[in-house]
Amino acid sequence: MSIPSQVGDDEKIMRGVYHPMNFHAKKNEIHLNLFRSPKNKDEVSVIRFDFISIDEARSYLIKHNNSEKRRTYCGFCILIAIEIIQCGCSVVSSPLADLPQHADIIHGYALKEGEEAPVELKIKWEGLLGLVNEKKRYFHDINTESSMWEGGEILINV
Amino acid sequence: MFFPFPVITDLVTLSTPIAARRKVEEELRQLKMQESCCFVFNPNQINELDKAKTISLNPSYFIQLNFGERLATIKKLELDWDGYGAVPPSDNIVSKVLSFLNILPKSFAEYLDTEYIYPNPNGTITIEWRHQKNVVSIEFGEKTANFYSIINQEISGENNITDITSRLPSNLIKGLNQLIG
Repeated sequence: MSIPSQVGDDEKIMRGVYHPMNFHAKKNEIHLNLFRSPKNKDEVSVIRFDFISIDEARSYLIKHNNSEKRRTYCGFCILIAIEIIQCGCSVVSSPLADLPQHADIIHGYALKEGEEAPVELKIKWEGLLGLVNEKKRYFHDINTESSMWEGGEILINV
Repeated sequence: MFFPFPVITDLVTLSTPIAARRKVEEELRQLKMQESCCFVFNPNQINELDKAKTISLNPSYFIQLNFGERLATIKKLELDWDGYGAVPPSDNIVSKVLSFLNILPKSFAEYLDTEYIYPNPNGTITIEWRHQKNVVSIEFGEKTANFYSIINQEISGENNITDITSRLPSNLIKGLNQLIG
């Protein structure tokens, strides 16, 4: 399957969720920093879900497990590209050698070391988090040991 | 371990300080107790509880103990703590957060979940109150801080606050009152 270089408005965009970095297990809640870029960068890694199988995408997310660094894979979120754009962000294709379906959410601001995120930027993240919560777009992985997704069909509430 | 006073041990299963406080109040009513009650928010961390302090019916005492533990954990973070080059918060930022928690009225501190005091990859620290769709959030940077609230879809916020450790912005107090109230 060929992957277009431009991300379509109706594409499904997948973001891996790691515990405890992005997920509050006791409350079963996603942390706002799921959408926060690393320091000095304006890019939040995502996967173009329409061009990859669930098992392949999941395998990539699990490969990036790093429990010693507060990153234990626990599930993923799915947003539609246009929803991300409506929150004031954009999605750009950024294929990697081992993941041609890779893309980035761009917020338009890179945070420096020790710099608190401006309110305007955090409101964008809140918009994305609100979508995840209101539309129930977080899919918890019930068996992270399995090589296959065991959570059934991924139904996207629009 | 023996405690010479009743211990409510199942608070750890409750998700929020609000729920924990309600449980405490309910237990107190049932026990008809006015004093000598110990609030245990994390039974795994019980060492030597100070009986004199636990006599006071003040759940925020234990919550505040947990704030200290939480900040101590954050302070121990090392370079690259997230595997993506994250920097640990500086002593200056940790100190600001401590100062802020010290001036935070108990009525607000009681409803702050320690998990919602968290470090960010670029070395800042966030404190957040969340309830349903409402949120009040403060982020402490090296030089300044900011806060915002979203209450019933109404957004309020302020950037570049220089004196948040000595003065709580009125909009922050208003947001917290609305969220908690």
